[in-house]
Amino acid sequence: MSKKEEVKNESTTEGKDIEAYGAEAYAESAKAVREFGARVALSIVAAIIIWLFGEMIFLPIAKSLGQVFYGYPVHSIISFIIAVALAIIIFSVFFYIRRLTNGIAGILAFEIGKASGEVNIESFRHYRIALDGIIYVIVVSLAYLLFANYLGQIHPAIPAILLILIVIWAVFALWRSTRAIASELGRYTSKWAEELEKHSKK
Amino acid sequence: MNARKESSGTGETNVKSSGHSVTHYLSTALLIWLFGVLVFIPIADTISAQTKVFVSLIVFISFTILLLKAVPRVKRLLEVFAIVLAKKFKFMKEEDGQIMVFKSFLQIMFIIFVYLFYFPFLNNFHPAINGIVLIVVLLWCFFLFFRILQIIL
Repeated sequence: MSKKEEVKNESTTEGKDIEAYGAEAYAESAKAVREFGARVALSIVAAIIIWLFGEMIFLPIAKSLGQVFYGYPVHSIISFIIAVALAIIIFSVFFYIRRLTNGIAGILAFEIGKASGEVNIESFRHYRIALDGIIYVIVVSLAYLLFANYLGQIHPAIPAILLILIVIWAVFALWRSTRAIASELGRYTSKWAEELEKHSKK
Repeated sequence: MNARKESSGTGETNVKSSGHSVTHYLSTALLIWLFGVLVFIPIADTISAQTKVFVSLIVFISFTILLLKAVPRVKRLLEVFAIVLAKKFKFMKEEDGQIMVFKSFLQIMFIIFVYLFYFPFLNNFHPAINGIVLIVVLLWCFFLFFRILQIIL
């Protein structure tokens, strides 16, 4: 077999490998979305219902009573109970949310990679890391919104401190995400830079 | 002519390597800005004015660090851009002057863009700080515009 043929064979097997890897990852991601989607959706609905009942019924009642229990206002205790219930629900599906976001990121990464026509295992992994980070920041921000008011009833400083910690974490999470995507964008920018160099040399 | 050689020399050799890190810094800065201005600062606003200022400060500092890291490379990219534009749109005999004109024009654009990105943070700190920065930006732009006019006329 000549060298040229060998190289051609290698590239076609690599192409098939990449396609198979992409399809496998897509199937895995779709399976994760199917498996955990319903469970996560149900937990989110439960969390929203608890939040609504707390916000619309229990907290107004507790505030109207204006009573103190062992030195603590009743509305603070009610808020603490609801915050704990929300935390249990959210943390019990935390693992599934992670798998679900991973799955969504995998599907998006596959679609983006397919659209650009330059799918390879490394770039698929990059897309996945990037999207995973961004989706994760969005999920944490939304989860924070559920807790913020109840934590504020316990002590006004708690949601502020938590938000500051989330913002600092988000900065690093986004940095990590864009580091992954920058190597993908870098390929396009280097092509563009070469064009620019040619133009400036002319 | 030397100035052009110098600028094109540094620009051409580094523009390729600049592209990648500039993309990383600027895309991170953009994402942090988007999440900060559209998500975190409005949430902080519902808690208290102090939290809003503090969150703005965190986003402001991280955005500024990333932008400062990107600025030297962006400057090199602007230089190369200016050379490309000067070669494409010839309206003067002197090539050096033409490059300077385009460079100054691109700098004005860049300064205005950067100011617009800083606008929400500065306004959150205090409207007066925003006003002072706007005055400085306007003076800087006028100075660059004056330089363009000096070269053209």
